[in-house]
Amino acid sequence: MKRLLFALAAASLVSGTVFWLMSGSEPPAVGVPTIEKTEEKVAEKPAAPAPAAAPTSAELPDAEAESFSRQLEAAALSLPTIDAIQALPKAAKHRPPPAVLEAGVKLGEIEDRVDKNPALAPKAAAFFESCAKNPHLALSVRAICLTSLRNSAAKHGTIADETGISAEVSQLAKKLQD
Amino acid sequence: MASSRARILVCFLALLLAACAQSGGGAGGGPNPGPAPTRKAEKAPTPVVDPKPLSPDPSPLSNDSHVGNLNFDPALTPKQKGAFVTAMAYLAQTDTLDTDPKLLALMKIRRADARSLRDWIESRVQFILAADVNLQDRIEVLDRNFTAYENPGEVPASSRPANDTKASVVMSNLGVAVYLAGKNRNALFGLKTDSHGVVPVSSPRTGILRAGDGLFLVPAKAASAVKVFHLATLIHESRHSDGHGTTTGFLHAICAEGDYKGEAACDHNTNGPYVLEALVTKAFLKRCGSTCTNVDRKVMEAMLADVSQRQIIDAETKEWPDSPEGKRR
Repeated sequence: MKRLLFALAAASLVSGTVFWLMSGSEPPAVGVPTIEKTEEKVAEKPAAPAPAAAPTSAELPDAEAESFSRQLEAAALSLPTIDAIQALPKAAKHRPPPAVLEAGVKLGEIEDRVDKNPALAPKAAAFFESCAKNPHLALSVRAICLTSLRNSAAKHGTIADETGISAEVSQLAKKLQD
Repeated sequence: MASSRARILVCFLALLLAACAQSGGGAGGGPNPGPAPTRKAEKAPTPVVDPKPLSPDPSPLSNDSHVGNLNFDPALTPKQKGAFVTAMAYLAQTDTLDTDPKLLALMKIRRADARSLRDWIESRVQFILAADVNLQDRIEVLDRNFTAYENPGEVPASSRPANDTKASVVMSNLGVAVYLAGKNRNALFGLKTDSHGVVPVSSPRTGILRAGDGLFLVPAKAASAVKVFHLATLIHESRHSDGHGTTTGFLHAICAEGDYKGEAACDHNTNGPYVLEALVTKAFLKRCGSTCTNVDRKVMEAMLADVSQRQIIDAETKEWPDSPEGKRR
């Protein structure tokens, strides 16, 4: 159920962005606070890293955007929740579970896609942010989503809004990047 | 709370005791290999130092029965053997890792180069069995009244083992479980092997691992990360061959928080298997730099994130003595 909620949130976020890209209008309020905060940050901090490769709707073909949305939706569905980790047999918890490693694959593939088409970076960043802030996901997964969010900011100039990310996620992400 | 967290579990011990009780009951004993060496209060071992650090480490010799000094049980599948061969070959090709000095201190090596890491593993692991090995067929009682154990009466606190019939085993250290089972019963057990005959399990350093198909649940798309995962797992399991008395086996403690809260899947010390594994994984991740694919890098990050949350840090957390109990024969 929690995974489904996350997927729906990601899907609504993605579809909202797709609608925005298709319509060329202002992004709709889709009920995802991170989007609203991102807009505020943009307004407050014009000196933030310039999204040199940031897209305009004209640069992102519909088919590419839709395909990427589907990839993000599938990834959201596959990310393991804490409940899923705790439901594993005890011996399976002795080593990093396959679902956690598979989450690494999904995030890496998203980064691959963005590297090939930087116009996708804002959507990817929104996905990473949503993942990092989702309290139902495994802690390890949220942490690697946060590192992807930071990497995206550094590489593609997207906004990395870390407000609302729990301290334990931040601390774990720090261990990965120190 | 702290005491409950500090409770350390002896994984597989009770299962093993049951298995050994059955096999031992009908075996009628076996040859007495003689008393084990006693070493009540041995100082920490001299650090292993590679005198020729810059010489390349040749890829370990391997065939169907072994890679380097790691001996394969015939029941291992070619795919399982291949995982070890590939991982050790990958290690042989690895330049000296730029690692946290803490790792060098904990492993007692001067540098994290291929040879030092390989020696470190091979001094702790000798035999690799299949996960579905029938212990009743493979373990025999060599001495029913064996009183020469070091640190008599000092064993890690135990608890009930998990009933994990459905778990896919990646790898586990069977040697420490067999050793502790023998020590608890004042009996000396032996492992029947094809390559070395019956080997007395006179120390956790006898080095017996079980490997299962969990080795292959790692995403194949992450070609480099898979090898690092196997190496990190080997180092993790190797660490379980260390320690003496109450620290024998560096057994895991109940996690206080994180994804594994309430599970015996954490280290309650500063030098346990997860700590070493995290440092090694981080060194490989650092080595990745810009040469790794995004997928490899993120999978290594996932590995690192998973194990980095598995250390309990509180007032009782300290470095455990790691000198091994008993001697490998």
